[in-house]
Amino acid sequence: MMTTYRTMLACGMLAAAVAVTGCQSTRVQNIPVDRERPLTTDFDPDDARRTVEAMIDSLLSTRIDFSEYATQGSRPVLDISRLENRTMQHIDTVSLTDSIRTKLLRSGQFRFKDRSTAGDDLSIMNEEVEGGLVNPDKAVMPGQQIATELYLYGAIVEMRTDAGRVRDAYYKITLNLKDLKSGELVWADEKELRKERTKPILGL
Amino acid sequence: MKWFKAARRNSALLRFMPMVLLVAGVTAWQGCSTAGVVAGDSTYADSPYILADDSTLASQVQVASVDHEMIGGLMRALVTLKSNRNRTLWIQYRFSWYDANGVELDPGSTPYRDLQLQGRDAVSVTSMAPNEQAREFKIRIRKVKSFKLENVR
Repeated sequence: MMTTYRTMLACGMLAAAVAVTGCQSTRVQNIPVDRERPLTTDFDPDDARRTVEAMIDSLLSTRIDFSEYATQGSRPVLDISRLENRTMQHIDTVSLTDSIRTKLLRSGQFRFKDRSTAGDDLSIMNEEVEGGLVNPDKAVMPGQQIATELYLYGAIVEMRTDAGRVRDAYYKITLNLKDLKSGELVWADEKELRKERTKPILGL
Repeated sequence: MKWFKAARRNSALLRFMPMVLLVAGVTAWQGCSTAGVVAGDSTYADSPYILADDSTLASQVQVASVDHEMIGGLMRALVTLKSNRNRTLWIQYRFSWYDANGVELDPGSTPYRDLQLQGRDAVSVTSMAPNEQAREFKIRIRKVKSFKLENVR
């Protein structure tokens, strides 16, 4: 009888401890940039970082002499378009292309042309040339920007399969480098990712 | 031992002790993560080097060779990893790059990459230096339990 009472008391204390632990406030902490294990089958930041790294490695390790395409200096002028998102989820492909551009620029192998502010560039130039406030000899005239020689573009696609408790997500990221003058595809590579999720037998 | 026997007779809490120890052990085991094996090479040192601070992982993954080459002024790291296990092994590796003064370039910018090593298989992994200042590299290898996502909605 006494043993049963003590067992119940111990169980009660254990339940109370668990309940108290569960009442703790939400915890926020800084974690390393790359996780050891993925959280979902979605295309997550770790996938993006690994994809960019692999693609840059592939492009820089090709034994193509990119200086052959340079007509305005020793390094070719590269432009990059936003990756086409052909998945069923929202992926910030602008961020992806920004990462690719940053790494390529820092490699010192390419020059980049920034078209994102092309409209502003032209309006500033016109305003300064025609506005009368700026010394006409110092004002930058339109038509002097560097020309794109190589063009980088690509896509990310997703194939998702659900079979019972298992979800299989397959991603393929393709990048192509094209010579704008000849239309020749200079380099292309693709990276594949596959993730699997298994739902528990019990629970939601 | 008298006090232990007495306590065992009188306290039901001791019945839960093995379970508590088991849970604590599992939690501690799951929380363990180590850099495992480190290997590297440079353009100015005499020879490549291999370091292991995790004897278990070092016995499972062998760094068969470490080398480098230059492509277009950029250093390229070449490392061959070999599994000493008969079963498939999931590992992650990360390259880090250093300049001639030993200062790490873009620390943390290179992510850990996944690698599946089949039983007794050897796989070569490579990495390009982030810029022309890179003169030395290190590869860090760590083991992961599984890439399958379970109990995640």
